[in-house]
This record gives sequence, C-alpha cells and structure tokens, in this order.
Amino acid sequence: MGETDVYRKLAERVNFPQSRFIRQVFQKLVSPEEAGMILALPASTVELAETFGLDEAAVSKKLDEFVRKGVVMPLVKDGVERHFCVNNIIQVHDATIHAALNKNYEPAQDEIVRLWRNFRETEWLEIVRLRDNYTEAQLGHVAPMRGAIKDTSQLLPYEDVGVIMEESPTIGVVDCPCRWLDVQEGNCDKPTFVCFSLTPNAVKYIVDRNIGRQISVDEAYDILDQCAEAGLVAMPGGAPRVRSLCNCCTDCCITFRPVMKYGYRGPLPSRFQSVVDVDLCNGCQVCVDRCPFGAIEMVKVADSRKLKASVDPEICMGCGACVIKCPTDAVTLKLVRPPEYIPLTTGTL
Amino acid sequence: MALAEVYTQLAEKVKAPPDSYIPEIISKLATPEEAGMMLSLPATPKEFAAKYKMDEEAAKRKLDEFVMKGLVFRFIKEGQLRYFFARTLGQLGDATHAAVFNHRDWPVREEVLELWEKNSQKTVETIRKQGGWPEGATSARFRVIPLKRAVKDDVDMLPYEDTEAILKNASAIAVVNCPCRMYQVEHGLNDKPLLVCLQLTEGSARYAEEQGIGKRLTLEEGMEILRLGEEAGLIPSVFGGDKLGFICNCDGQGCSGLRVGVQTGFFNVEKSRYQSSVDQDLCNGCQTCVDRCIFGAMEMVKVPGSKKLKAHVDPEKCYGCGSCVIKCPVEGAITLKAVRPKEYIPLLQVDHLQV
Repeated sequence: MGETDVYRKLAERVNFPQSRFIRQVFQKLVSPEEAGMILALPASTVELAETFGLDEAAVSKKLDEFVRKGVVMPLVKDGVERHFCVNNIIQVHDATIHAALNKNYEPAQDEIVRLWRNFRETEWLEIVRLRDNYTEAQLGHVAPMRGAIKDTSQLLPYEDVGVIMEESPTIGVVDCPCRWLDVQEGNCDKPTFVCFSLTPNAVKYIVDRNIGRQISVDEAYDILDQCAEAGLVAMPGGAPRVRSLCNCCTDCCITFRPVMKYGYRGPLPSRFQSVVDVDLCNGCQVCVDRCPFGAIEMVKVADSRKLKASVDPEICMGCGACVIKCPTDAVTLKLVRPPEYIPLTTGTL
Repeated sequence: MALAEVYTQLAEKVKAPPDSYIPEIISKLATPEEAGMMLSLPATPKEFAAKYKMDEEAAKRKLDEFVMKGLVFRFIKEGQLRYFFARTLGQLGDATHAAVFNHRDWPVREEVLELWEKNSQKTVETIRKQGGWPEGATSARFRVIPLKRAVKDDVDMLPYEDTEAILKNASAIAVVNCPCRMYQVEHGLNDKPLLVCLQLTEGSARYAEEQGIGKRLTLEEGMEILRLGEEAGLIPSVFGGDKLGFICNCDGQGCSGLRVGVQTGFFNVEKSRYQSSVDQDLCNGCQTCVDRCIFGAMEMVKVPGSKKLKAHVDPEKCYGCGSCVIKCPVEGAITLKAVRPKEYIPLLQVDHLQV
C-alpha cells in the first residue's frame, strides 16, 4: 500500500476519502507505518501486538500516543479495552483540535489548526452542500438558554438545560473546538470552556486525555450562566437522553457557520419564539446586538420617536439570547410548538 | 350667542388671526363694557376717570383690576403713570395665563386655560393647512441657544448665546411659570417642569412680583433653573439678538411655537450657531438622543460592521440645542460644534416685554 493510499484509507474511515484536508491532517499526525497500524483497528492491544509482531508494551504506548493526538479512540466494552480509529468528521475535527489545544503534538499543531480553518471554508461547505442536496438529516434543535424562560414548567426535561445537567449520569466539559480556532486568531471573544459531554465514556475520555474536566451540577450551572451571559446558543444532542450540550456562537460553530455565512440548511428552532412588548421596549438595541441569527430589526411604531425592536418569526430560533439581557423585560420567549416537534433521537449528527 | 364686537376689536389690536379664540378668551375676563374701556387705552388714570365719569381713585382701581387679569399693563412715561392694553399676542397670552393660573378661585380659570390650549392647537392646524408660517411671523425671531453643558470648552461662545453669561448680564432675574404648558401640566398631559421661564429685565421682574406670579432669583438660583431644564430636555430659547428679555425653556409638546414644528415639520425658530455630530464608532445605538431631539433631527441608520443601527444627525433639522449631548451615555459619541459665524446672530434691540 503506497503512502497516499494509507491516508486516503484513513480519510475513508471518517467517510470522506476524497478529502484532501483530512488526508493532510492524518499525514501531519502519523507516519505511513503508524497509519497502517491504525487501519488495523478496531482491536485490543493484545490483538494488535499479535498482528504486527510487536510486544504489548510498545503497542500500548503507541495507542496512547494516537489517542493523545486525537486520531484513535479508546472504548471499554465488556471489561476489555479496545481502540478504534475516529469514525466521523466531527470526531476527528474535535479530537485533533483538542490535541492541538492541549499541545499534544509539537510542532504540527499550528499546521493542524490551519488545515481545519481552511477545511471549514472549502471542503466542509461542499460536504454541507451535498448533505443538503441528498439528505434530510436532522441537525438538532436549539434549546432556550439558561434563564431565558421564567416559567420552567413549560420546558420538556430534554430542552431544559438545567434539568439536562441534573439528570445526566456524569458531566464533562471541554473547550469548544470550533470556537477555539477563532479565539486563537482573535476573531471571537466568547468563552470556550462550555462544551458538555454527558456520557460516562466521553467523560472518561476527556479526563484520561486531560483535555477537560469532570464537573458537578453546580459548576455546570455556572458555565450555563456564562453561556447565557455571552449569548451562546444551547444545542442539546439527542432526546430524551441528552448525550452532549454544545453552546454555540453562530460565526464559529462548524454547524451554524455555513448557515449564517452561506445560507445552508441548519439546526431547527426551539419550541419557543421571541416576542417584543413594544410598550416596554426602550429601543436600546441590546437584543439586536445579541441575536445570533439577525432576527431582530428596529422598526417605526406609532407614538414613539425611538424605533422599537421587532422579531421576524421566520428567522427567530428561540434561543433566548435577546431575553437574557433586555433591560426592561420587554422581550420574552413564547411557547409556539408542541412537544412532538422535538423528535426522539440518539443525538449523533 | 355672538360675542360683542369690542372683543374682536381688542383681538385685532394684538394682531390675532381672525378665526382665533382670542375674542372669546378676553370675553371671559372682561364684560363688554370693560372691553370697551380697554379699547380707549392708553390713558392716564386721570384721562380714564374723565372719560368714564368716575373719580380718579375708582378709575385707578378699575385699571388695576385689568392689570391683575393680565389684559392691561402699566408704564411710566415722562413721570406719568399710564395704562395700555397688551401690545402683542405673546404679551396677552403670557399675562392672562399667569393671571388665571395664579387665581385658583376665579370661576373662569379653567375655561381660559382651555381656550388658550385650543388656540395653540388651532395654530397647529392653520400652519398645517397653510403649508408653513406666513412671511414675517413674529416668532420667527425666536432663537435656540445651546445648553451650556453641551458646549465643551468653546472660548468663542458669545455672551448672548451663553446661558450663564446671559444671566450674569441681566439687569434682574425672575422666574415665572411657563404659560404654554400650564394647561397640559395641570391635566397630566405633560410632565415637564413648569416654573422655568426666566425673566431678565428689571421691568419684567417687577411685574412678576407685583402680579404675584413669580419670584426674583439670585444668579445661582437662575443657573439651577437652567440645569433643571437641561435635565428635563427643555430647549433654551430667546427672542432677539444681543439684548435679551427672557430665556424660555421650551418643550416640543407644550410650547405654543415649537409644538407647531413638532407636529407639522414647520418650525418657526432660528437655529443656534451650533450643530450636533455623532461619532458612530462610539455610538451604542441606545436611541436616547432620538428620544431627546424634539426637532426629529436624529435618525438611526445602518452602518457597516454593526448589527445595531447608529445615530445620525440630519444637519438640516438640527437646531443646535445640545439636548442630545447631555444625556448621551457614551462620552464623546455626540458633540456640539459651532458651524455658523458670529454674524449669524443679528444684533437687535428688543423691547419685548419691557413693561
């Protein structure tokens, strides 16, 4: 198997054999021999040592290195630890960026970050275009951010970010890989330590790799409050069992960016919608500034010199960013969609 | 019932428009017989006594009664006390407003205030219908002066556009209630302060005292009134050039002059020498200035690189009062700069309200 072929095969593992960028990412991180070893996964350490005629300790050390670099994932099943090659685009994107963020591989990390930045503006858009043309894949639903709904009895447990944390068996947090690319460049000043993983396996992976922390429910509330303050859009993964909770800004997020910048199909709105009480609105435009989706315009109304806020229901995603900072409580989220609107899914993109 | 002709004749003396409420207003304050007497003015008490066959004391009492009602004024010429009927519509309006406002026991009080309010509303309609102010409307010499705090470190500010200098140079300072918004304030239609009309001549200060409609102020007290007006978004305006008889602190809703502009777009005041400009990088889009500007000169516009609309001043509509500057929460986002030469303000001797 030639050098190019192994990287192509690795790219195939994440479903994009044609991708030049993904091949390059693997190329920066592993040698052709190492690539061959990864392609032999999934396997246990023992199996791999046997296949390649190496001693177990050497294989184990190699696998740890792959995990640290973000190209291989460990998985404990039936008491046996096995490893597998990253198997989807988001996984390889997030894991290799976390590795770069954690400075797990000198000196390639700047290169990796550059590759992903370029990928986002080129091949990723093509992928999104094809996805839009050929599938109707669910891209998830927005959930109202913490504090946006005063009467939380209106919320389903899997759209209430507080309850999601309370009911999760474990909570892990990592830096948002999407945003980190932009924060590095000085293009975004939103908090990054806001990406929640809510399954025991994921939290173990985070802790073992030292790319994040396991936290308490109270700490999770604090982070959710920071997210609300910063106007980050809550995106639960899965329902009724929520496996992750992203807190996205629409310019950095790999899912929202193609929507906002290029008009591709994106996630769906929450069951709520913003409404403005024109009499209470003081025209300060804080909501206009906060709305991640450009759904609020200032319009002329009778009996006021000031323009007042007006929400376009077609554009509003029901995230509540506007509600949180309205100084006169003039903007509120109104329930507009039934519970069945949120499909019960596993929550993998 | 048709009003007696004498009222119309008195209204003509102050050049009231033919369809105005002035004859009716005067009729509330004087009988037809009294109106006839006022038509014969000016006169000394002696002349008046001779004409109406009463003794001089009784004549003086009658004339003083007219004065108390704000219809007639005293003046001393060549050592002689004389009485005259109001010379201008402004004078009649200010004095009768003050008189009835001050006499809560007068049965006609409410009617007179309401008629004046209706008269102001009628003016708005007339100007709207005419599509503008007629040539030479007297109020065209009203001039906005900038709020002192809005003008930062301008050493070239003229003494007759600098509120502080105007008060310092005044022969006296007194304050009376603003007649224009009396009715609105009493009926909860206007929340601006009322006791803000500054009188700056000895004659007008004495008149305010004699009529019991106002009080003399120290310089510091006068400055305090200006600060109060500034806070409330009132626009200081004066009548004339370098010799000034008063400083009005006007609002766009009550002021009988400015309300016409606010409602029709036809303002009949002169701009100050100053103009507002916005630094859009600093502007936070809060629209406080939009709300403060009674002239409608502030618009919100799209600017590149900002989701918020930003303030923009229409120089045609800006009267240079500085009301926007005072309440802008971002230091330096709006500034007031001199844009017209000193000669812009005509040097005029004005005898308005010299009584």
